[in-house]
Amino acid sequence: MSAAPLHSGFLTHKRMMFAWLALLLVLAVAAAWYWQEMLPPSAVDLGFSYGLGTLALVIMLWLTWFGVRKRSYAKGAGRLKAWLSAHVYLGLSLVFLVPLHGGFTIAPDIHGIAYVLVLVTVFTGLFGVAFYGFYPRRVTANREGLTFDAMLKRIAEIDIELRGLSTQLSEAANNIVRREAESGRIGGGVGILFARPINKARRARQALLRLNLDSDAGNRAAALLESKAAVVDRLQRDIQMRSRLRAWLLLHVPLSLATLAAVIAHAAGMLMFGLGSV
Amino acid sequence: MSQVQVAIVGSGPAGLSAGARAAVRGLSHVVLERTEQPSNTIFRFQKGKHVMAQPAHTPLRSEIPFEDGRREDVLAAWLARAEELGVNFRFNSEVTGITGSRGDFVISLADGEEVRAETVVLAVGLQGNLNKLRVPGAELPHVGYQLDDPDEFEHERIAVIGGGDASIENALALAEHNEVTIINRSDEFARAKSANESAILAAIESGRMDVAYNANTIAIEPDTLVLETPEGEARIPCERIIARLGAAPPRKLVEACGVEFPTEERNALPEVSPQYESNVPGLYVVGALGGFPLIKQALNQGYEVIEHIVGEDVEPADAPLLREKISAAQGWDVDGFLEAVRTRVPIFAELNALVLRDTMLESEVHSFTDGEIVFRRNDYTNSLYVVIEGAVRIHLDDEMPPKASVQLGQGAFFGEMGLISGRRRNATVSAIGNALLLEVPRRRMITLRASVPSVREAMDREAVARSIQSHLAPGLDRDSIDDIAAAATIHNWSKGQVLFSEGEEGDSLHLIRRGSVLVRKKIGDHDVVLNYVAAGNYVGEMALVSGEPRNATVAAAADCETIRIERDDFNRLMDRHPDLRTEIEQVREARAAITARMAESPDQGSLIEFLVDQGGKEATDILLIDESLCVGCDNCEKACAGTHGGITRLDREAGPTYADMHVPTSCRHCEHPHCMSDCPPDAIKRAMGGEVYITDACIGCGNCQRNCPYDVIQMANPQMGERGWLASLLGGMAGKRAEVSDGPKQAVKCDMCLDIDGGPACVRACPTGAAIRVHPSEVIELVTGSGR
Repeated sequence: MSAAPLHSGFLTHKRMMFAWLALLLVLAVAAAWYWQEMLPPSAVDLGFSYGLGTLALVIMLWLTWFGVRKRSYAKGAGRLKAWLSAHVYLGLSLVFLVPLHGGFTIAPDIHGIAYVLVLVTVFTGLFGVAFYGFYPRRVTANREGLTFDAMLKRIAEIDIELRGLSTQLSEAANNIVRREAESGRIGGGVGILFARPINKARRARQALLRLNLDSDAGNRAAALLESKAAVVDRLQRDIQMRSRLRAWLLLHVPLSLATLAAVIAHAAGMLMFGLGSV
Repeated sequence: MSQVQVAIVGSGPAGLSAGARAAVRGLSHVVLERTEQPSNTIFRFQKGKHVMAQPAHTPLRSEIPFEDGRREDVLAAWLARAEELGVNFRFNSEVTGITGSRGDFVISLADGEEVRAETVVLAVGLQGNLNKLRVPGAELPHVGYQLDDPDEFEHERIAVIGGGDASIENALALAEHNEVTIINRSDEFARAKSANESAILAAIESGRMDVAYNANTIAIEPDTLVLETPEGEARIPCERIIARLGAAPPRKLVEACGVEFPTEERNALPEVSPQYESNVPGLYVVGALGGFPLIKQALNQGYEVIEHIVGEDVEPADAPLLREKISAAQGWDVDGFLEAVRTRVPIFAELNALVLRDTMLESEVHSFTDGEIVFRRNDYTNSLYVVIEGAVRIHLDDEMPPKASVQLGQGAFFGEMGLISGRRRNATVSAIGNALLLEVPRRRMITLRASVPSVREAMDREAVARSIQSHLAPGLDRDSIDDIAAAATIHNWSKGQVLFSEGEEGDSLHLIRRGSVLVRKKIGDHDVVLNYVAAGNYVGEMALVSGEPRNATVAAAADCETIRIERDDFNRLMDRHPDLRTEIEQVREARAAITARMAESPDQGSLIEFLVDQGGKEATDILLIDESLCVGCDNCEKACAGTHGGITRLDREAGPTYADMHVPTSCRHCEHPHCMSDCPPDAIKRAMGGEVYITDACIGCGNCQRNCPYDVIQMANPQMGERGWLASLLGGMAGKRAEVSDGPKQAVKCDMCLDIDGGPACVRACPTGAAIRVHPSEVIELVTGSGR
């Protein structure tokens, strides 16, 4: 990277300033922890642990505030990119701060639930970071300059031509072609997040070829189905990648709200009843 | 036979206004109108046509009200006022001749009657005398010379004859519900306003309309139009023909009244005195026939002519405004100031009185005290200043006060570089002593440069010398530059034209005044783009210094204007100014470094070419999206909509992509904005920071939308209200492009978040850093520097 890049992504924002800050925070907390471990046991009270818990809670509140900041278009200091950069690195610091706060032990109670939820939320966030790093280039490459609408339009055009052709085909072929030309579905519901659905256009083409048609219309229909199958492939990949770019948020956001609720319940329980009383 | 003090012939804007003033003055009068309704020409404007109150800066002085509006509303207001004042009309009264003299005119009418009058005001305009076809069949009932309401016709085949604005507007309106063919005598529509030209070409291109070029009408048959074309005779089947052939002064009638014309030319106008009196004493000529074709001017003249008739000394309607304009200049009166402008400022020496007044009305007079700053380097203002009194200092460095500076005295102009290049001010200017300056807006200067050759020539002569001084030989005095400047020539290049080619002998250097160029070189089999050079820089210096043939090809990236300096002149300049040699050497090294980097990876050259082509060539600020970072969240669009009345001014997904760089559909804030070129109410402005934005003065005509080559302007109702973060969270789709909504539409476009602290919302709202805004000068850095 050159001295002053004209632009950089959120991970490398300001030469990873927030990563360094988060690391500094983690090291400072670790040092403080080490220092209080050195004290004679009689001098240890819950102050350090309460302080660490409060720090973690403040960080979590700030992290959640990102959802508001993201939508404050006219107001709000700085660029959202900087906020996201800090969001990622501060969020990651919780992976250390929270276990330390819990003494690296976990119990099946509200405290344990809060503990696990924090880690799971950060984990889903990591998915987001990974997707954001992995997919954008691939989405662009896959599109080859076409927009989503342009791809849909291309399919519609092919379907129109197929319907026109189908009248010149035998009944069996006509059935295959018409069914394919009239089905409007290319996605695959939630499942597309995990695997691309069957490309029906390609299956229809294979079925058509099995009929051994040897007419101009038949050949043309097969060629059209092949083009359609290629566009459908491209669209399915596009939908899959773009869905993944969004879907993790459907976990991350509700989980972060649940985490916040659990953490507040945990803190309230602690304040009212002390450890082990809930 | 009736007898009146004033007879007014014609009831258009001028006649109507004269009648109204005569009524207020209590003069016995009659307004003679050939047809059965007043202001027949305006009545025959296309239904719903937007009538503009131009010139905007001239005040209205008439008993008749007038402001921008639909022709129906304008007319209704006029007629209501005429009735209220008791204007005495006589309809169906075509005048055939006028005899007699002051105190005793006799006006003969076509119906045989006569009207006696002490004075006569001739306000017949031109439109009552439309040019007609002179071919067999021209009198057939399906041939018309005007079009009232295009919606009257449906499912007809219609031929519209003419290549001007009227025929284009008619043809476009008719094409909505009819099959239209437009017949053009020439091979292009260059005579029309540029918005009309692009609209008609688009209609032809898309097949909504047919066209016949180089076609002369030779005959009309009941359902066929017969044309003579380069390919031979053509027969166009049609049920209706609308011929819009312009209008000419009704010379026969005017001459029948004893009024003389200065020349035999068909479009010649009669000569009149400053009081609008013709060579026939007591017979006055106003309005279009007197050389003032605009409605507002005609209304004012109608008022003034009555004042002249009753012997009242009226000053022109703009005099109070001019007085106010020069109130900043203490001790000056209007006439004295105008005279000073004409005699002291060489570039305005040949302006006629009317144009000078108009120019003054649009300009500002400023009085500066010693040391006060007129404008600063990097300001984005683009007006031109002239020194009426005193002097100014051009700062050649950023020191305060400057170490190096140039003085300009009385009569000089400055600020022309920003005006011509469309870029930021390249120097700070301050006053020396008390200086009186006239600031002329960009639009006015462009009009003057285009329409008055002496303005352009005087400006160019001076501007060439200054460009050489500031870009090549700072510190060299003018005497050592003038001979070189005189020998330099100005060249215009259209996009793609080659200034010089690789391998040619290097005989000259080009200083780029406007536009920008791409430098290419053949490396192996590939034509590699090596550099992009913008206005304010020079190209072609290497071959002059080295004496070797050109080592690269330079072609215009956008329409360009360059100053060409021949080799011998350049050598003389280097002899006189040895620093130039050192500087050229430095530039050469810097360019060689870029060349080396670009040659290593030819892809970067292609990316530069792509970015330049997508607007970099004329942009001042361009929104780019790095597709390697963009996650498609559309937060940029949502932010834009959220800060701009719910309408996003950028379309992220649309637009081309090359090597991960995506150029979304979003304003480039061009150096010479295409949108500004034809905005009737002058509603498009450029802010100090370079932002091109549209003010509330927008009338929704859509010219800017049609003129924008990047398709970034939408017509929408901008009153949709903004949303807070909660509403956008719950409401979801705030970022969609505006659909049809109720209420009048206005043009909306990116204003680079002019009023929002922290800059453009799109960039600030991008979570991943994919959205960036760059100045074209950063394109090279963006592409060759890393960070990507």
